[in-house]
This record gives sequence, structure tokens and C-alpha cells, in this order.
Amino acid sequence: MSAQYLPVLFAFMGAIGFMAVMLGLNHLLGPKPKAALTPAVKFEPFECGVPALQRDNRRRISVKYYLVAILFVMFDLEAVLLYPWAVLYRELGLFGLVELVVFLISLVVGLIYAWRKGALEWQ
Amino acid sequence: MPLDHLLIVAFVLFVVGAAGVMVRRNLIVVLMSIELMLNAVNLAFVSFSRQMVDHDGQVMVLMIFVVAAVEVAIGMAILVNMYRQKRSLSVDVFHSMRG
Amino acid sequence: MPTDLHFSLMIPELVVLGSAVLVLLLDAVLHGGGPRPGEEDPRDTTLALSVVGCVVAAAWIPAVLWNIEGPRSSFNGLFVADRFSLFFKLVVLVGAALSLLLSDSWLRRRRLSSGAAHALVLFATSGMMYMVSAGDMVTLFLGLEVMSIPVYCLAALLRWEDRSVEAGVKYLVLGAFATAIMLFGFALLYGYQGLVGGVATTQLEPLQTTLMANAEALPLYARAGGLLVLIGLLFKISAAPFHMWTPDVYEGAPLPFVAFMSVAVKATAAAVLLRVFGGPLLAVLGLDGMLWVVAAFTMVVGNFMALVQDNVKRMLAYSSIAHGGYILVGVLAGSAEAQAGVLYYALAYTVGNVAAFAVLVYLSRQGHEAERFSDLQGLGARHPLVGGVMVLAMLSLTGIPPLVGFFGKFVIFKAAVAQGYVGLTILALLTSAVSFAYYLRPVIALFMRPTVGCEVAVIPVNRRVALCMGLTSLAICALGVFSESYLGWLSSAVLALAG
Repeated sequence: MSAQYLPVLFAFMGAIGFMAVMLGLNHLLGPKPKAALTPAVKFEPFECGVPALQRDNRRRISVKYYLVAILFVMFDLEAVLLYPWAVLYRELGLFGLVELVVFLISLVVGLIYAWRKGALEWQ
Repeated sequence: MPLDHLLIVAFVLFVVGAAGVMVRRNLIVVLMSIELMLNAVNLAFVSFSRQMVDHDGQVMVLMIFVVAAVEVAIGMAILVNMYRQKRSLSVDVFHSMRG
Repeated sequence: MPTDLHFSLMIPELVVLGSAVLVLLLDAVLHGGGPRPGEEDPRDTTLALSVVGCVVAAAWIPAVLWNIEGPRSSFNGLFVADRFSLFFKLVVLVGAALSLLLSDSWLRRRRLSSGAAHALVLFATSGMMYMVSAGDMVTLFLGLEVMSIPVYCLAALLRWEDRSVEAGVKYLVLGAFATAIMLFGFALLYGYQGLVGGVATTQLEPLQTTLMANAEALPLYARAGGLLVLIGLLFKISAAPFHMWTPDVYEGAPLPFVAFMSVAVKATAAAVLLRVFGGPLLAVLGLDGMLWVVAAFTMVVGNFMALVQDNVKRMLAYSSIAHGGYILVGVLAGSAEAQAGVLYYALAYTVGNVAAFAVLVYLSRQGHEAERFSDLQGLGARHPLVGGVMVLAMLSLTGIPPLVGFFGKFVIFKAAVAQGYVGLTILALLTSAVSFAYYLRPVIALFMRPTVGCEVAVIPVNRRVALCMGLTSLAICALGVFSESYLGWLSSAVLALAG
């Protein structure tokens, strides 16, 4: 069964091998500039981007995002529980609908709590 | 894909996660390792479930998904508090209680 | 429309959940944005609502469900409301209601919003109730998490205190780790049930039947699955060597909620151990030898480490580990008497431990936690009734007749000897004798130490905590003296488990 994927594997191996050979040859044969003797301009990007505006690009992100992110993760993942209902909603009929509404109400309670406790304020 | 291979992957993931919990010092990484263990469990459940054409295992997987997310949410909330307290997320800063 | 739905069987759970949601909403609507100075906060309302919820749920069990006719399992085996689970629900609800009473003044003194704390206790309680009723891996797992996640939050409730946050982190990481281990065990057992048993299902009963039927030739992965599930549960019951988190969590977490965690989580874990591994299954899986070692180790570690603590909360933490060891002896013995003993022991431990914590809460005041033995010095002479409750609690936890703790140990040890675990029982008796030494220390601190150069405070009467102390002391005496009359009642609960 898996034999039909063999060509894909060969293509992958070919690609990786080609890349490895090229990089290796470059490393072996290419000139290696000595940092002290080379003008600084040689280390600048050439036709592939612009110099970085700041050296350290890892900016801190406000901790306020984390609260939003956590609320998002929870409410987002609860949606997973709707899938089984969606698959079976014809068979479940009215009963399933009621159960779903109960489930959603319990989510709304959580939302009300977050809202009243000020978790949704941004300041 | 044969069941054995899937289970071997699940087992390896589980062991990697468990090792991470025990070895790593950063608590965020520890939480990530626990997630890895839970995902190994999920993989084991779906592989068995697929093999036996049964839905119970998949229900379990859905539940594990949701609960894992909630666990991480609570974990992050507690860790943010811990960072505010101790300015560090390393297990090395635990020294206020001994005995 | 699915069949086999008996919502009436889970009325206690629904009551507890409903009151939890109401408490949460009340707290959010009346008390949004945190406490403001000078504002009358709704904590009396939320406290009343939570306690009433627990009491109604608890009253419903003996009043209606205990003698109910008809099916006791519902939702195609997901939920089992047999007498065994009903008894543990009662224990858990009693523990929750008493801790709620305890927590009120304690939270008030710290100006903490208590609505969230009350809701967390109720949510955790509902999780425990689902967990002891679980007839399926899904319910077991969901109950476990609905129990654990609020308890992690309760441990980290004092978010500006170093120790509380540390307790929360430790509990969360180790608890989640234990859950993951247990789940992998469940995955393996699910696979075993499907591949060998023929019917793929996550239900526990078919799985147990399959395991028993194939006792001769269990494959390695089935044994490994059983082992992993057992390890996960041993974490929850804090048996040595999986007990490392317990002392730190108990020391760091808020006092009234330690009472809740120590009694309710342990009772729940014991119930699940009995339900999953009850009877001969342990021996079939080849885990009885391991549990023997774990029980012995737990009793030794718990009792001897408790000797050297100078913090009362830590001492009680180690003593709770030791009590977990005695419960494991009952689980290991596995006969019907032993299982009835475990039920009795869970109740005895609950009332004794809550009484001890009630005394500590009573003696704590603004800026002065009653945590170390030195904090208790001389207070017993000034408040003899409070001191008396502590004496009762300690004697009961040691196992002095005719208090309830004695009969708990007596029933378990007798059953263990009958099953041939003589060595383990002797070890249990010896470690019980050791426990007398450290249970005496708070009593000595309360009554006999002279208080030189230190003023003995006069503590204002706190009616709710006093009520809690009164109820638990009454229970310690009454349940012990009248133990004969309801041991039969407990046996009927265990029979439900067997058949």
C-alpha cells in the first residue's frame, strides 16, 4: 500500500541531497572572508532585504494580550463539542437542541462572569 | 497504517513528554511537555478507535482536547501570577517551603 | 431521541452545579470589578446559597435516592448512582459544606472576594460527585478534571502570597502529570477491551469482565495500562512515593480549603480506587504486590515525617498521607468487610480532620495565622472548649475508642488480617502508635506549655466556625458510639459495588 508513495520519498531525498551537496560545495570551495580584513559592506545584505532596523527584534508584548488569548482559547475550543451534535442533529431532534442550548447557556454564564469582572476591559 | 506503528509513535511521544516534565526547569516548557503527553494519549485513543471502528475513543479524545485547553488556561493564569511574584518561571525558585 | 436517560438519578449533582452557577452569577452581578471599600458585599448571600445547595443535595440522597426502585445506572452506563457512590457523595458534600462554613470568616478577614471561592468549592464538589459515580472512562476523566481544576485555583487563591502561588503551581503541574499518566493507562485498557473483549467501549464494567476472564494470559500492555491508571490514582490519594506535592500544597494553600482538599479529594480517590480496582482485579493485574509496598511505605513515610514538623499544617499533611496508607490497606484487602471499612474510614477521617482544621481557623486572627505549634501556646487554657475539640479530633485521628477513628481502623485491620495481610496490619498498628506522639503535640501546645513573655490573645467568638466545630465533635463521638448500628448500612453500600 505504501509502495505507491515511494517516488515521493525519492523526490524528497533528491531535494535534500541536492541542497546538502550545494551547501557543502559552497562551504568547501567558496572564499572565506576574514572578518578583520574585510570591509563592513561585505556583510550587508545584497539584493535580499534591508538591514535590520534594530538589533534585537524580540519586543515584549503587553501582558494584557494573555488574558484575551486565554479567553479566546477556552471559548474557541468549546466549539469542538458542537461537532458531535452537528453530525447527529437530525437523529437527536428537539432533545439535542435543548441539550445544546443548555451547553451554550453555561458558556454564556462564563462570558457574563468575565465581562462583569472586567476581563474584557482594555486599559 | 498498522496499529503497531501508531502506538509506537504514541508511546515515544508520551515518554518524551514525561521526560520533559521531569527534566526541564522552565515551567512553560513543563506545561508544554504535559500537553505532549496528552496528545500521545489522544493518538493512542484514535488509533485504537480506528482499528476497531468504534466511536467511544473519539469521544474521549474530544474531551481530552477541551480539558487540556482549560488546564493550560488555568496553568498560564497561575504562572503569570508566579512571574509577578518571583520574576522567574524556573522551578529553581521554589524554596519558600521545605521539609 | 436517545434512550436510557434518568436525570432524576443525578439530582444532587445538578443541585450543586446549579448553585455553583448561581453563586458565580450573583458574585459577578452584585460584586463586579472586585471589592470596593465601604461596600456591603454579597458574601452572606453566596455563602448561604452554597451551603444550602450542599445540604439539599446531601439530604436528597438518603431521602430519595438511597432506596430508589428501578435502574441505578443511566446514560448507557456513563453514570452509576449505586449506594456505594451515594455514600461517597454524602461524605464529599459534608466535607464541602463544613469547609464552606469555615472559609467564610477566614476570607472576610483577608478582604477576599468569596463568591469565586465558594463557586470553586461547589464546582469541585460536583466533579467529585460525578467521579465517584463514573461507570465509564469519560465520566471518570471529566469528573477528575472538574474536581482538580477548581482545586488548583483554590490552592493558588492568595495570589499575592509566595507560598500560595507556589502551592498552586506544584499542584497543577503534578496533578496534570498524574492525569496524563492515568489517561495513557486508560488508552491502553480501551485498546485491550476492544481487541480482546470484542466490544470496543470505554465503559469500566465490560473491561473488568474481560480482564477477569483472561486472567491467565494478560498481555503486557494490559498490565501496563492497569499500572498507569493505578499510579495516577495513587498520585491523587497522595500515597508515597507519589506524595511529594502534598506537604507543600497543604502548607501554602489557604487554611479552610486545605480542609476541603484533604478530606474530599482523598475520599474521592479512595472511591475510584475501589470502583476500578475493587475485589480480585488487583491480583489479576499483578499489582497487589506493588500496592502492598506502596501502602507500607506510605504509612511509614507519613507517620515518621509528621513527627519532625513544626508547622501544624505540614504535620496534618503528613498525617493525611499516613491515613491514605491505611485506606490503601483496606483497598488491598479487597473483601466486602475491607471495602465497608474504607467507606467508614473516609467518613471518620473527614469529620476528624475537618474538626482539627476548624480549630486552626478559629484560632487564626488578623495577621496571625495559627500555623506553628508555638502559635497555639496557651490558647487551650483560655478557650477550653476549643481546646477540647482539638483533643477529640486528635484522639479520633489516632484511633482511640470509642471515637469514630478507632472503628475505622478496627474494621480495616480486621478485614486485612482475615485476608492474610498480617505483616502489613502489624506495620499499620505500629505506625498508628507512632502517630499518637505527633497528634499529642498540638494538644500539649494548647494546654501545657507555659506562655512566658507572650500574651495570650482573647479570640472573639465566631459562630460559623463554632457551629462547624460543634457538628464535627458531635459526629466524632456519635458515629463512634453508635457505629454498630450503621455498619450494616455500609455493607449494603458495598454489596452494590460487587453486584
